Amino acid sequence: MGCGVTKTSEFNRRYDKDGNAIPAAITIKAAVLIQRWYRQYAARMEMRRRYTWNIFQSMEYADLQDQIKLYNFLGYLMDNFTRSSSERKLISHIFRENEVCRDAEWERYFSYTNIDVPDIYCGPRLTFPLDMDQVADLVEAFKNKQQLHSRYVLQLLLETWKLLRVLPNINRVSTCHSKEITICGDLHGQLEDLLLIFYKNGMPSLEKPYVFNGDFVDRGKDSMEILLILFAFLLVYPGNVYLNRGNHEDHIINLRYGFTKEVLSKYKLHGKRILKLLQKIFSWLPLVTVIDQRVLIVHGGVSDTTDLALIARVDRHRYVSALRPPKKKTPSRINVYANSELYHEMINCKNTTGSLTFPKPFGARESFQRRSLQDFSSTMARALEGEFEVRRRQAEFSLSSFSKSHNILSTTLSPDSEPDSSQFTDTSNDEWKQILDLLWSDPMSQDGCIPNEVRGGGCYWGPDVTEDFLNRHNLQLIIRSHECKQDGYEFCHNRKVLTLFSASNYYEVGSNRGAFIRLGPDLVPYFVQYRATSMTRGLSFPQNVKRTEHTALKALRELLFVHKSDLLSAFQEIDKENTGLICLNDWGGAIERVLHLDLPWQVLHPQIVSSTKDGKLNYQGWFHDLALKKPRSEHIEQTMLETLYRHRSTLETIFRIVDTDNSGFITFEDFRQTLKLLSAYLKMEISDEVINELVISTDTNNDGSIDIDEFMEAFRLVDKSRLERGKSLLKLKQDCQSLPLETETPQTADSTAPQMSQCLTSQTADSPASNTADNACSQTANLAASHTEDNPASQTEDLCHISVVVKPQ
Amino acid sequence: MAPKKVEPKKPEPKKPEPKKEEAPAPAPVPETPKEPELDLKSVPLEFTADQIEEFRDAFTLFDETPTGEMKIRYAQCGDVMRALGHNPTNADVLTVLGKPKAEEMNTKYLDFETFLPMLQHISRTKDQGTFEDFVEGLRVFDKEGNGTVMGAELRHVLATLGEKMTEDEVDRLMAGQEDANGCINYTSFIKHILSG
Repeated sequence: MGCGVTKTSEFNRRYDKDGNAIPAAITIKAAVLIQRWYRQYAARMEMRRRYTWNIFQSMEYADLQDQIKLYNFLGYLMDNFTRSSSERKLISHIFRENEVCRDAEWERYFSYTNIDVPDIYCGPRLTFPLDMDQVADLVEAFKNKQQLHSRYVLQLLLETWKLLRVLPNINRVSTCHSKEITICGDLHGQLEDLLLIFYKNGMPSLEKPYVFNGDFVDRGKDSMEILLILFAFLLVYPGNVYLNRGNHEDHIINLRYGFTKEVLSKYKLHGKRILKLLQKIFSWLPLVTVIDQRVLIVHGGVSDTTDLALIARVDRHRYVSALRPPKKKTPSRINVYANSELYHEMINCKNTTGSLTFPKPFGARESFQRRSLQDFSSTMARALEGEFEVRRRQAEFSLSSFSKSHNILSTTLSPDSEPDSSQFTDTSNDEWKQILDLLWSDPMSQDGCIPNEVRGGGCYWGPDVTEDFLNRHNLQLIIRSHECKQDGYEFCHNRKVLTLFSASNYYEVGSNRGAFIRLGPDLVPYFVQYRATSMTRGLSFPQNVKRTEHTALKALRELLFVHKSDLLSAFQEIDKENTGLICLNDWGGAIERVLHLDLPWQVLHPQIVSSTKDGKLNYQGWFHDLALKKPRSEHIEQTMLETLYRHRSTLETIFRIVDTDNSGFITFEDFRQTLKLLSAYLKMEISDEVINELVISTDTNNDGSIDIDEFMEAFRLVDKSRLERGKSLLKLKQDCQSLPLETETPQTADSTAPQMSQCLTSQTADSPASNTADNACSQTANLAASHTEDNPASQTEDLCHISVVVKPQ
Repeated sequence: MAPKKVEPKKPEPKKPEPKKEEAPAPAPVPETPKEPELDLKSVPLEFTADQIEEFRDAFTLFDETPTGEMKIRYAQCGDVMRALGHNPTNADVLTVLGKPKAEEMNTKYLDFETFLPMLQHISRTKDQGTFEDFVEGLRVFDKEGNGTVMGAELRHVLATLGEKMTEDEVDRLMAGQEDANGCINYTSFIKHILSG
């Protein structure tokens, strides 16, 4: 008591530099002050982390919806344009089933034997059957950034396909030999993560079985390598490596999210065949894995109708793409598409995006009130019979009208000689829904099961559905992936559902950790978390948060910028007296309506708005801060550019669809047609002059064809996520090594780049100083500034700098 | 003698906050120097509508209830207030919460309406601490008067005095601040904390 206190007080006594004792009270006061401030700092950091996460997630989901919408639009086109119309020809191939079907023909088509491997090739030379040493070499080679020769790729893929075909829909694994099973979630082409997992946990072997739960490809830059590694292990240890299909193992999704592009750029000569073979392989991937008949591993999740017995019976390979329902020959009920008036009317109904199986989600949030350039919603049209009817007939209706388009196709194009197509009945639709649910669903906290309108496929399922499902099938745990989690994993539904995500730094360097689990006979998961990039290990938690936040905010500002016209109209509608001012509440509300992003705008506003007066914001001034310089090109006005920029993913996806032979090039005429397609999709006039201007300025090869990548680059519309990742890694490196910072000047870009490219960049040619500003220094300078003030100059530079291109490899 | 002075302050942070005065009340009073019972109902709300929206947004960010009921745990109350720019001590937070027991911190919930008057009350606390206060406070540890303090010493103090921080918290706070000799330049340290 007394002693203790005395001792401690002596211990804590401080002396100043003259040796005088300082009263303990001062010491304590100092301590408390620091502690208070630290706690505030930590709380603010936590808040920023949370809203940054929100931003990334909402933007990701918004983007996903786009893809579905686009696809539905193309379906609409198929139905409405005449068979011979050029638009239809451009895209019809995507609806075509694979023409070549018999095994012998397949083998011939994918023959690799006449592909020569040059002597200078120093990568792995595989001989089949594969063995462990070769696979280890393969992993090593990829670690050293080598690329496997296309001959071996094709050979490996063929062998994989042969194996997958004999696998059941449901993998069954047991832990009974005291083996621990390792389970990994989404990898999304991030090879570093896979290598890190192997490093921490060892590679697959007889003693070390692995389950990989889908989404191996897209977004990351090494999807091909990951696939090759996983398939190689599968071939060597077919009883110990299990692969589940994910929603990204789907060629249509790949068109948009980068895998197609990656393959074509890595394998210029044979990429097309590789992609086709992968299309087949994906459809042959098993759907789920069950461990000890107790634990279910599936990529997305379940719904209230999921039935494993049914799943076991389906012909999974018929479902090449989750976005393409099976063909059906039942007569359609109301062919909405044929009656375009009816169709347009329905489009103009207040509607949020419907999913493919459920055209209109109930309980959807307030739908878009103003439809301007975007939001071609609900192409799986609503029947006008009324909501009730719609819900009753949802699945049937949407599928039947969709399949009508397929019927048209099937009579004109080469018939799919898949044997049982004429036998399809409603069961095929049920099966399709089952598969969709398995691969696309997400858990939610409320009870029940509602359509997943955010993703456009699958459902949201609640804890009661989990309970019911587990009981019916005598299971105890569902392990799934599909959603990124801050810590790499997350339990929900009373710890009966576990989400596992293995791609660290998914949104941005520092955004999240990845995780994998080990499961022993006791079926209790043991978690291992990690973060792949070595550079972030040196960063503290707050630094990680700041970096991620910076990227998220930048993306958000960009989004705001490209919606300027819509936002302006929204503001002006509120500001009826034309004062030029708007209160923050209204500001937030308007943004939410225009962007459809449910974010905490009030909390975010200090980061996006430089100053307010009496709680009101001068919105013209704000745009001015956000705005980029006026375009030099007179023929293309700002709104058009905004539009094209906003829909660049869609534009690129359409390009890739139009590029039927996957060559990476399209002709002038096709390009013209593409833009016309886009204008129909957006219901916005893209005039011939604009198109001509674009065409002329983008044919930099002067050979009458347009390189898709180059076109996108001409717009400075490169794959932003990769660009951002590359840039932030570069900055990290520079931070860590204190290298002199490289300035990116527009002069490095192609000097023959079209004029309009300047539109989206600032006139940085005039002010090179502004470029140097956007580097790590300004990044930290930004952050050091107080919360309520953001440096408008650097905002502008940041936004401009999005558009300046780092030459892609 | 020193022990008498130190005794009431050191072990229980709930007692009279040392930050308020150099010389505490001669007889340590168990209740806080403020009114013994904090009547939140009588606190008038002076926030504007815009501010309330902002608070609501922040509140929602911290809402972890599975169904989004706009409730936070007692333990989160301090964090939300701090995230909104205020600076209560843990003692202050416990006071506005009505001095809950330790186990209640994670089991009892608080909705937005109840939160607002608490926030209002906290926002009235003037004693926020300025940059100079900090510098003064840290100068205490600057043995050589050269603008640096020993990291290890600071860690010790933060973890043992006042409203003690956990080792984790201290690590996070000090991450990247110590130089090769384990010293911290406290002016830049303070800037680092204040820039949040």
